[in-house]
Amino acid sequence: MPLDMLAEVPTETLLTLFANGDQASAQALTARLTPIVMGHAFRLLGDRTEAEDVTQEAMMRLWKIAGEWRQGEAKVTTWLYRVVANLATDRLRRRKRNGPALDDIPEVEDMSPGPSEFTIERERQDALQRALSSLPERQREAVILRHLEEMQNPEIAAVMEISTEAVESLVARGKRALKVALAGKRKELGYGDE
Amino acid sequence: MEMNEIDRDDELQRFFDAARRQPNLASDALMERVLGDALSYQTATEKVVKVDSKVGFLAGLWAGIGGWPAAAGLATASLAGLWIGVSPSLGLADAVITTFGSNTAESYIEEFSTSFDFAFYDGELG
Repeated sequence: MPLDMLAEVPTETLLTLFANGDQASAQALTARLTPIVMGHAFRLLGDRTEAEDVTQEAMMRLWKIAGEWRQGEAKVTTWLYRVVANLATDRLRRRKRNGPALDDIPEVEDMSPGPSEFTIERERQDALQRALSSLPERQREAVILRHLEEMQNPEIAAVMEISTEAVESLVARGKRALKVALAGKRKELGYGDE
Repeated sequence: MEMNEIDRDDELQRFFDAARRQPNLASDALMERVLGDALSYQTATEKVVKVDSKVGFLAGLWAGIGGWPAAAGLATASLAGLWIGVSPSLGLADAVITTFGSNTAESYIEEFSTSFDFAFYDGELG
């Protein structure tokens, strides 16, 4: 089936087609899901190389489970967010044992084409990423899912396998901690004293 | 409000907005690796019986039940069954000769009848 015809096909259906050997579905699923998985992995880990490894591993797990996927039982993205969080948690724990502390995570590399395109927006992105990295893991995950992935609390609860009340609590505490962490960036990021 | 924190939700929201506008972080190299994994896994787990959409459902079903080799076996078994059904008496006669030493089924009945008195039935019913 041509790739452009698969744009409107639900992800769960593509997964079944993939399991039956359809190569166009493999392409469509890769194009649709890899950026989402990579974005989430990077926000959780704050490290591009590690995020790429986690993305590849999470997608590999998806390919392996495709043949057993039960239609209608769970959203593929919900399942993927959970897998990414588990893989990221493993890496963060390993990092705590062996590598630098979270506070020592280096600045996010500049991926813009040149210095002329360096903007305040980019500064805000980096500052938020560093602030997120300073949060406890569960608060960070809840805030990312709620405010960056823009998911509703019941779906976040499904991903994190906790109650919606627990989600609300994690998000509230996470946002409070972010406000403190970002306080020093007010002036340099264009906020006045008003 | 504490002086050492951002004082409004909308200020924090600007950070979230900026982060959501972040460009796609998945490089071409990563996309190629992920797709490569997918295609390799598909090849490695390709099913033995695979219905090709070009040849249709019936052709797939034909392949699914074993194709021509299976059909040849089925035909042989059917012909054997037909032969057994059509010519049972020949086989039965041979079995009678082997077992009882007589060359006809009728003689077996005659010999069998001498050990019983059928006259009773003849007389009563005759």
